[in-house]
Amino acid sequence: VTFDPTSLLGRLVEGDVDFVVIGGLAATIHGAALPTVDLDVMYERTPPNLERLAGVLQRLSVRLRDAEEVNVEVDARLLKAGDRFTFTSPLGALDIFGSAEGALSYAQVRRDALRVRVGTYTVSVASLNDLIAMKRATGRPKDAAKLAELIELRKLAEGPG
Amino acid sequence: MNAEESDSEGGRGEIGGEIDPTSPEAQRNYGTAEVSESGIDLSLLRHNLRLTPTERVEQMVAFVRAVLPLQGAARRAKQ
Repeated sequence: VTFDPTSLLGRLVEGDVDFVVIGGLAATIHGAALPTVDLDVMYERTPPNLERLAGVLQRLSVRLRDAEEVNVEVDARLLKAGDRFTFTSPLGALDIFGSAEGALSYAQVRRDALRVRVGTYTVSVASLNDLIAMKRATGRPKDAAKLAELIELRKLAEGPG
Repeated sequence: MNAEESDSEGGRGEIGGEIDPTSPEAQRNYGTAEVSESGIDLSLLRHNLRLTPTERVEQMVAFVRAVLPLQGAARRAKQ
């Protein structure tokens, strides 16, 4: 099983992509114990950023997950046509989101994000409040434990009282 | 002190002079899991919070790399 989130983050940073880590890895960075097997990022949808993101995805040789046999050129035009994409790559699964559940805008998530050093890279990580809002909005039973964990982490971060 | 607390003999996690293993006192003393009302292992979260973000990621990735192949093998064995 290949999953190297630090290297995936590094590719995005080195590609100068404007993004925020969300999902399970963001929860891990905040201290959550439940594991994840993919990297979820929210990305800015300006044309220059779509170009940079597409360049990183091409260099990563990503394939559309569950349609790996289909030859799809991942370029800025494709990214502009959609919003959410799930990819496989030699470094592991990478899911990209132009918008988040809970009607959170990229600008809001980016503004609330923390700058965190992971390995040799400094990345933006969605705040606990925004992660909780996203998880609440999905309403998926499988997310219930993850949501509960995020809420407990927020209580621990706030401290007693 | 409320009625429930005043009823426990010895107080501070003790029942009849023995430590109640589910009490916060016992959990602090013996390192047993402290579980939130929602079922989350708080001792695990506290452990993670003592790590750096990089260490948290490395720990999780090591877990995934160790466990997922086992899950895959178990699934194949069932088929």
